[in-house]
Amino acid sequence: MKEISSIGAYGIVPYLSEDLLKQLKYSNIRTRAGKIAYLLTLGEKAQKPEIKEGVHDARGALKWIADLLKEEEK
Amino acid sequence: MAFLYIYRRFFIEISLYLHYNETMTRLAEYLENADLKDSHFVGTITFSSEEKTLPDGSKIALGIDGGHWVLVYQKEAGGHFQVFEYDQKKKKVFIDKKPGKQEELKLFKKLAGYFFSNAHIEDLVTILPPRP
Repeated sequence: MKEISSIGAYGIVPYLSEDLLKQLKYSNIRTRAGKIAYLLTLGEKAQKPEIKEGVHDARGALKWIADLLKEEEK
Repeated sequence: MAFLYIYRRFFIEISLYLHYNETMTRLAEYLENADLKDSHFVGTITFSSEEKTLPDGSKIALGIDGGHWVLVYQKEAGGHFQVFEYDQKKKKVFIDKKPGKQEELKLFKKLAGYFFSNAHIEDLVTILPPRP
């Protein structure tokens, strides 16, 4: 996991700087939340990604997560 | 005359809103038909543009690396982001890199549940890391 210690230029994320987000050049990710989630999930492995409409590729993972969250609530 | 115009405009807007909601598929509904479970997926689910939000105006993105889940939450446009990191095996949550307690764990699950119940799949994209 990439350690990021600077304060965001706009205070957006306490440990993720605006400069870093710009440097990463993930211009094909259109939302700031998506950029943050992608970077923090992959850390050093985060390279320019591929974007696909919808959630077809992730449906198995989302099903697994949704079911686990439901089970844990019981 | 102006009243008629406003009334007609209002009717059109309501009809379009209802039609939009009828034709869109909620994520939870879509997953009801999914028959496979994948615990090794790596990628991120997010809205396709900044204009898209959940019904309460909030935005959520969900990063997944196997059992390591990152939920990024923005309550309202322009607001600050909260980052929840959840270790599924240890069942531990971190908020903005600080260990969370039971209350934070509940909040994480509540937000994730809200996302699953209310996000429309037509509004979402999947971000995949480049293949080697």
